[in-house]
Amino acid sequence: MSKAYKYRKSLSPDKDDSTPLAPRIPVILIGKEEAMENIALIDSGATDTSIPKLIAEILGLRFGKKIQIRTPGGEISGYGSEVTVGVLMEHDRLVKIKVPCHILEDFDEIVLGRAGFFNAFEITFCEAKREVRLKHLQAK
Amino acid sequence: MRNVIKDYNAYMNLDLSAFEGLWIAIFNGQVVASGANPKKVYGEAMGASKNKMVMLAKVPERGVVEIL
Repeated sequence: MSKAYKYRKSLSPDKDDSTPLAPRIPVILIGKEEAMENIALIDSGATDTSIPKLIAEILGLRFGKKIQIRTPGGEISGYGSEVTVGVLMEHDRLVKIKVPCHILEDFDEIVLGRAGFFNAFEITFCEAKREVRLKHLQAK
Repeated sequence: MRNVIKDYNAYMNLDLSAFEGLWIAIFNGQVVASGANPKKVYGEAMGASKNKMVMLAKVPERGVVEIL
């Protein structure tokens, strides 16, 4: 079971406007209070999944221990947590996996990191085709 | 799940240049709310969708390279 998602080209459909191309996919984030569709960046360089604090509050995620996280842009504070991520595969099948995550203050991107997420999928980035392909790995 | 695909296709194909750097909420293939605060955008969108699931997305900014 696999599914390919194209990178979005630009902000305007027919223009090359220097919008950074990135592997973003539709996901459903599920918390204790809400479930919502989001667009999430797949980041093979990130250890963990990151969720903006305001999104975590909407979802009703548990705010665990406060932590400091080092990023290329500096240190930011956050909280340990976990979130259920739903990924739409072929034939409209939804694969749900629970992953550890960091809830981050002053952060506005949903980032899918390796822990938990990359264990559940074989993920292939094809920059030439500007697409990312996910193949769900069945648990043994 | 049909709605997720419809909203995702809207995210991929709509002209979002007016929302650069903002959060947007998409419902039934249309942008129904936008702004800098995702909580406010989500609340407004839930009113527009009558509490049905909406897609919340941050629109990238032109010329900004992301190093996360």
